Amino acid sequence: MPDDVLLETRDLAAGYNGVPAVRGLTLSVGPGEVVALLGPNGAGKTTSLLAMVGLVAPLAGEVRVRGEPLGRRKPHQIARVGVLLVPDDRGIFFGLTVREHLRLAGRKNDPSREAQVLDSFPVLRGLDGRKAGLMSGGEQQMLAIAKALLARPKVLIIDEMSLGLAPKIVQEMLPAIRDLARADGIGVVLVEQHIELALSIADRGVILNHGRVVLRGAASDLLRDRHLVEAAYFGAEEFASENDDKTLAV
Amino acid sequence: MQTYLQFAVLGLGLGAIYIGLGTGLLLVHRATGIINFAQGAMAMWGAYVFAQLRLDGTLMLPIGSIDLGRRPTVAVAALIGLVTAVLLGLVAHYLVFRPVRNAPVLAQVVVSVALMITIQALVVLRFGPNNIKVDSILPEGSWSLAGIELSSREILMTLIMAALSAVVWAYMRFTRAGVATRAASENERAAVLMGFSPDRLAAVAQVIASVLGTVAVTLGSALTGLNPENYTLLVVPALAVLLVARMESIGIVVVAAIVLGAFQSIIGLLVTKPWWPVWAQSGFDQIIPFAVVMVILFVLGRRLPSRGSLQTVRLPDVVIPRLRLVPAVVLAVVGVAALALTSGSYRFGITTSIIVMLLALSYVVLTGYLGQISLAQGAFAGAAGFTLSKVTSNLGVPFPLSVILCGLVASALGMLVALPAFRIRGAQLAIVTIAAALAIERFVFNNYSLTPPEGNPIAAATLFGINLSVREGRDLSRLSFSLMVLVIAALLVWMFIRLASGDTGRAFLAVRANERAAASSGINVRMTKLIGFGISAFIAGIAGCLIGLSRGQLSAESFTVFAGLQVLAVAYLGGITSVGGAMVAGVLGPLGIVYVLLRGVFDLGAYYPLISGLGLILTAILNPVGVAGATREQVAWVRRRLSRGGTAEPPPVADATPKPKEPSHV
Amino acid sequence: MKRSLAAVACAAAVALTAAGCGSEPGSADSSGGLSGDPVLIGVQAPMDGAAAYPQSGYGAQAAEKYVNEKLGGINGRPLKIQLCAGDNSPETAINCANEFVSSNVAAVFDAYDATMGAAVPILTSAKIPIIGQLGGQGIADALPAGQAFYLSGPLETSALGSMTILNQLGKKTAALAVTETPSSHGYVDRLIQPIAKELGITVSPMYTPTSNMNFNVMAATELSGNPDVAGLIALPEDGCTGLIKALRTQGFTGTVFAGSCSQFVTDLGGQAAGAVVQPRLWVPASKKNAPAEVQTQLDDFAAAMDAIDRGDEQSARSLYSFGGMVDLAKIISGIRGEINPDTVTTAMTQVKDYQTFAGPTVTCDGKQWPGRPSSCSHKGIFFEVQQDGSLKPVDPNGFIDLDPSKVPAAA
Repeated sequence: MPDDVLLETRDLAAGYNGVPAVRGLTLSVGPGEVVALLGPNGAGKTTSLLAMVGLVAPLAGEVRVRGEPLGRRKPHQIARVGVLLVPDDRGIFFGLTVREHLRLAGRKNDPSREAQVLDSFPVLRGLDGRKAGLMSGGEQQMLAIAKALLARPKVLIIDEMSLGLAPKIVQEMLPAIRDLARADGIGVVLVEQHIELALSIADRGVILNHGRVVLRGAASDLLRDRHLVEAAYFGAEEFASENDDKTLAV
Repeated sequence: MQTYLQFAVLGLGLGAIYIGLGTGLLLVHRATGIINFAQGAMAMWGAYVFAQLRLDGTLMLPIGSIDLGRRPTVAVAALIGLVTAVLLGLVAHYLVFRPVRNAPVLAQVVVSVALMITIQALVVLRFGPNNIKVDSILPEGSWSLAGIELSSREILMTLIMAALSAVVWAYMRFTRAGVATRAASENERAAVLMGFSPDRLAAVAQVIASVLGTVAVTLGSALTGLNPENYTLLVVPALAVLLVARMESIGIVVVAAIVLGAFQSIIGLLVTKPWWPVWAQSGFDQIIPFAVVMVILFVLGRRLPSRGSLQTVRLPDVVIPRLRLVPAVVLAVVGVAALALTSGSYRFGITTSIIVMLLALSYVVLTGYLGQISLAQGAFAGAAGFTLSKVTSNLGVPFPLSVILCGLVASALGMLVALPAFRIRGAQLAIVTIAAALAIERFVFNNYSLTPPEGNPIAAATLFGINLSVREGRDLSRLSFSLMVLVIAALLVWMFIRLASGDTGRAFLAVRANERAAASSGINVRMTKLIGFGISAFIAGIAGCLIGLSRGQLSAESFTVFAGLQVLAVAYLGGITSVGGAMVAGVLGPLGIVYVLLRGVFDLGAYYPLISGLGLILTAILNPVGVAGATREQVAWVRRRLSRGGTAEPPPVADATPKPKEPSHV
Repeated sequence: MKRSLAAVACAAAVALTAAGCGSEPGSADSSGGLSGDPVLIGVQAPMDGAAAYPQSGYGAQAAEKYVNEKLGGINGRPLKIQLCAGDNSPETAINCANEFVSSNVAAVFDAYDATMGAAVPILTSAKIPIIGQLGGQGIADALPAGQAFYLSGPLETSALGSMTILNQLGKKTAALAVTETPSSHGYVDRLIQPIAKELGITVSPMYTPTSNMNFNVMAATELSGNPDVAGLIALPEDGCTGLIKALRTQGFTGTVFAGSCSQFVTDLGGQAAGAVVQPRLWVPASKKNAPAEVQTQLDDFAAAMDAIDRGDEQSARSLYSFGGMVDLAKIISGIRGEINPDTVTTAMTQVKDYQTFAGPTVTCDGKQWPGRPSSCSHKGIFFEVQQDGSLKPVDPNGFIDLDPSKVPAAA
């Protein structure tokens, strides 16, 4: 596994003004893997993602990409290394057209890759000259992910994709993403509120609460043992401790 | 009719410069969110280098110079000028603007104003304060259009600048870097996440802007010669053009620049007509940019784009002052002793320091407490000073009523300026105030109808028979005058402390922190701003009256835009958030005691703006709380050490990396 | 990163400051080897700022050296000037005046500084006399008898002189440029216009800020009214040159009136021919057509300017300062005993029929110009630029008497 690990965090702590919002986060993502990072509001999911891409400096622990620690790299350098985040505000530019977004995304002109990505999101083909601000939520989300994929990332991190989207659209998009990930060997980290949806396409799940990992396991196992997941979600803080990282055994 | 057309064409010389500066301003704003008040000053440096090379083959550097032996050709000299512009753009980006990219708007405005002062001072030092001739790159001549002879140089200039602007437009439209710049200006975090370094994009933008401006000024200054004051301030009409273009459209920049230049030229013709009113003869062409700025900001104010950047630095904290008897008495005693024990120009220097402290205090009220940026305090002081002259000479109003009255006049003016502050803030307010200050300086203070040629004498003050005049016979600085200044200053400081520690002060701070939050907690934001501007202008006005009394004579030069900016520089340097800061500012300020002392050592005159400009840049970047704040921190550190006896427990450390700060509320 | 930024900036500030502390030209010893208590004269010259004429300071410096080395000082004592550089702001003038008073100068020489007016209250209060070649603000030269002495006449001389010569040349309309300051507005409205009206001339003034002179625009504005005479009342030398050049380029072939500018003659060559200038003295360019004594004096002047490395700054302004200082030195050389403000004042009031350096004969009894007791003369001189670039006096006698009655009664 270590050779295959694309992104890994070791005992990562991150937060604001010295106060950690997440502690002791250890997880890894391998090629073609989809890891779902779940948990209730305020659990520390977004902070974890921001720490993975360098937008928040870690208070402790480290993040490694392909075994190399990220160290003090700036966020734009981390993006160039191939760790791309699609943030919760979608990370698109309302004043720019779809074409301009795609232009920005690819480092060089890569028509075959573009064709491949647009095949997965055919709606975007017809919106070439449309300003992103004038598109629907679903179209914007597609654009956000398409442009990330266009850059041939090694790791794709998506924050709360389903926010504000009709479940039907999400249900269509998620498998497409998973297939592309598998095909290209991309590691995907999916932060979601929607547990079922996330676990249905993920390989593994990690559940955060009160800033710590409280449960992790294979997605199928988590889906089967729903009550444990619920307990993890509604667990009180006093019961979440350093040693609570329960791995669900088969 | 054809004269008007000819004059319109002649005005294209200015129009070309506005195109260059306006496009540069737009590009830099898109890339960094910063409005670069130093754009004009930066643009003129390269032009000066070109002009000097063509004059005598000397390549002038900021420090030292290289004698090339022979005068280079126009092409070579122009190339060297452009290279200089590139280097200047890079230096400005890395040393000045990058450190404040995530700082509050106040720091950004202050830093670019400081850069403006610094470059202008450096130009005066290296090239001299007078006009220098600039070789014309374009040939003189005229073209015939329907029988009318139109000057060809100006038309060519404008075409060249318009073409260069088109290139910039194409950069923003079609190149990856340009599109990324636009993207980053809208959502910087998203651009970063796509692998773009907003820093690198900003550097490119600065360099392009610098080069564009330099080309424009090099071409345009052939018509008038170069001089430091004029070209530095051309940024003000360029800002008006920028606002008309809503800070986004290069096409509108080009059109508006041409229209403004042509219009100003035609006004120049009209003021010579016999039917033009005498009172409107001087400086009317400066009114236009100001009027344009006001109108645009009023109409479009809220809808102008402001950049969403990752702001991580906070404004300096304010320490609520308390009137403590012992330090107050000590200060008073020290003040009286300092005045009594000195004489002549040293006493005059101390007295001037006290007056400058009051000017700095007006900035503390307005900017430190209320969080509003105003570059017009000098104009308020001047308005009061000139009114004092009229009121004492023509109306014979006695002291101290005269001074209070004039302070109120300044206060009224301040509240007038508060009106735009209702709808706009930050850098836009800075633009309005600098445009207003320039218009007031040129149109009001320089107005022949208002200021007679004998000047504006100010009669000495007397109170209950005590002669409070500043000089008599060989005594250049009478003690009674200085004591009067000290008493007035003490009164104003006391008034300020009462205000700052009371409800009004809290209201100010609330508005500074977050206007919406303040409004939703029941504070009348408009009234608060009105009061803040009013009080700040009142203090500035009293200071202006005291300046008048200390000199016996006032002129437009007493209250130029630059004089006002100098005081802002030392106010920020001393510490914009406290009375102590204002005192430090007074001590360091222009014509104050430190200035007088240093003047004795070497000819400080031309170096003072340079040193204060550099000092301000450093302060804005490194230490927003200023000297006073830093001293306070040191004092507090020492106190902590002494009281704890040296056994402080180390704070729990989990990090080796600097703590990220929470996003600022401003 | 921030620390290195601070270090760089500090180093830069120090280096820049140090670089500027180099030696200035002309700071060499000018005492001519004379011993004894120097006679200290304050000199206020507009050396800096937008409307600067640094030549007015150089002339005084040249005079200092000349007086000490060639004239044996002032009764064997060296002359020492305290040169204070004005920058067109009253603040600096006030600072200069304060310094003059503190240094106990015997007198203050006004090297034609437009901000002298601000210094007047300080100097009169300290009873220090103001002496100058010509007054440029209407304040110092309007002082009561015994406080100020202007050798070649008050401000009104220029106004009356310019209109007189234009009238003599039969001109009826004139468009003239002048720097945009409140004092110039006063000058035009209170002196030029009434005098012009008396003489039947229509003058269209064109005010221009010195920091922004667009010569094409200025020339076009002047010519838009098709005047007989175009030119200027007063502009800095380069403004003069630029405007006259633009006038000729735009096809003006009429008479150009160039105030007291002189540089344009050398700069523009043939294009300058026909222009009329009105300096206060026999300026260097007029040497060819000047009387013998004046020619010697102008040679001395040229040598003196060379001696301080300012040989290429022999314009009218430098001559005014030079000549005025030399005259002052000669006059106060006649004082027996202490040289202080009182004795200087007395000596000045006793000046009668004194032949000034390259100028008119003057009498400083306060009666030369009605309403202007500071004036020592009511004469004027005018030149026309020849094809060869030399100046020829319009009147073969050189200086002519002006008629002060044409000037509206002084307020």
